[in-house]
Amino acid sequence: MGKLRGIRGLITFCAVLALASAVAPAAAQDATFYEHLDYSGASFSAQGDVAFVGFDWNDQITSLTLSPGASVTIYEHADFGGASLTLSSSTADLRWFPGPGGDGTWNDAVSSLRVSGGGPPPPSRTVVLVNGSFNPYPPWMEPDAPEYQAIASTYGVQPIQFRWTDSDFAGVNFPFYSGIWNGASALAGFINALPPGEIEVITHSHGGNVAILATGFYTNRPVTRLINLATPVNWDLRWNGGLWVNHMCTASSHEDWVQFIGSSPYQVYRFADAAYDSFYWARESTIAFIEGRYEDALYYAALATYYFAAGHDWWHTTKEEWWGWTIMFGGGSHGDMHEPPVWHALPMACKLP
Amino acid sequence: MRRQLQLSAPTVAVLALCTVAVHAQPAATPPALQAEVETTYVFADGRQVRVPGHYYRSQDGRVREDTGRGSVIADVSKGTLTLLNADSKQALVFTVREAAPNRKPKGVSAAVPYARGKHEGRDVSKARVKGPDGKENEVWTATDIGLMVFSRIESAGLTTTKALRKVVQGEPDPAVFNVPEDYAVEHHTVPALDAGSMRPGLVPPSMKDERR
Repeated sequence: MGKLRGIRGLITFCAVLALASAVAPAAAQDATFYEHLDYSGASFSAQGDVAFVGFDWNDQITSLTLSPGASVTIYEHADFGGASLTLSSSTADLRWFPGPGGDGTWNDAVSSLRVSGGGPPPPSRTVVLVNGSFNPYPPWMEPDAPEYQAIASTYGVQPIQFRWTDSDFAGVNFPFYSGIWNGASALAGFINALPPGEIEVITHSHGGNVAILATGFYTNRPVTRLINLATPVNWDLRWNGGLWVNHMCTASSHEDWVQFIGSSPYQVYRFADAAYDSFYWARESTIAFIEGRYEDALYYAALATYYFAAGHDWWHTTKEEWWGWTIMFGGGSHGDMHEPPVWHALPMACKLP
Repeated sequence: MRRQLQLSAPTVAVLALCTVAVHAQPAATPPALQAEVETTYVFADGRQVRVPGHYYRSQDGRVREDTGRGSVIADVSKGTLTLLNADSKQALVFTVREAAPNRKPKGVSAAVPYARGKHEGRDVSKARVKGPDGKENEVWTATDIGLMVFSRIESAGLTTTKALRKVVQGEPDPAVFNVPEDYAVEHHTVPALDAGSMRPGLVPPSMKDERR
């Protein structure tokens, strides 16, 4: 008995080797077939089409397991002939299914099979970098850039680049923002086609608006995190609804003028209007003070402070994102925002891994 | 008593002329000067950022303020505001269509003086300003030159403190009020904007409830 079991084991080993080499890389194990109930006894794994399970396994299978997403069709005869049954989940006992076997079930009745779906385990995470306007090939997105390497280190995977190219002046400006909309559609297609798993999107400048429109209107799956660096919070590109994003955060610099200029004309005009009035009333206050009209001077000073605050409020609207968290930095330029010092300050607020 | 107050017709005429003459005098002009300015931003989470800059004021009504990464030039004689972006070498020139005196928002009351003091050796009048939003701001005005030399102003998520130091009187180099030659210039005309929403919420009020 022991000798027989040893020979049987050797045959099984050879059969598995043959099957594996014929139909799948050794690492892929989409379906595993067992000699006995409850996934016990000898077993072999297979992927793809198996026109004949071999003499040793012919009419021997009693249970089977499937990888996530995989399904199997089992056949009564070789070359996918006779009765068939398709299963999409692991099955501990093929006797549950009426079939062509001697006992009227599918137990010990399989001669060929087809495994579909499954495949190698999906990558757990895909990190996508998205460029800003005017340059689809910014250095920070290249693998030798410190920012790229910092992002790769954070996530433990090499990021991939998505580049939207209609990013010239006309494409990113009022009234149509056509390049941003076109980029959003293209990014959504890119995201939708990615393998299963978490999707992390990191953008700079108007690339964030591309991602916002993509996840707000076009994607068919969630983005795990969207991190926008120095993205202009443009009210022409914001709306009442939400984004298909699990977590979002924005890094803004108070001193980033480019981010301000990329906002909507309404916001920019409001700022200019208020800032001008602030200077105007400060001057009027000075004049009134010199002339001894102190009551006027005090009122004009109040107006100057009012408009100063109003100007700051409008400036702030170009930096405070509508969704998720906004991390405000003090003195960085637009370009500073895609450099490692900013990235390394984000993990807590952005819930980075 | 009543007789003493009675004025003859010639006297009234002379007084009237004097009044006209007083009104016809040109308004006082703020003295030209420049100063160092230090702006401190305190964010809602307590972080502080100090930004050094420079302040210029001409006698004819132009003011320039340099901050960390750019400059703002206001010219009240032309009704323009110019933003100079040092990073992109871009100048945005805004012509403000609506005159500022026509826009005095409701709820803004005069600053209330509460103390006198010194700032950089100058006498200053310290006053507090309560904004329509209830937040209290503060301004200090140098009494000899009428210049606001210190302010602390609350705005969205931010407290801005600005202090002028080393004030030097005299006309600055006129070039500082011009757009540098190597800058690209964009001209904009600011449309007349309704006074009702001069200060925004962080998002339009109609959208606040929708934020996620």
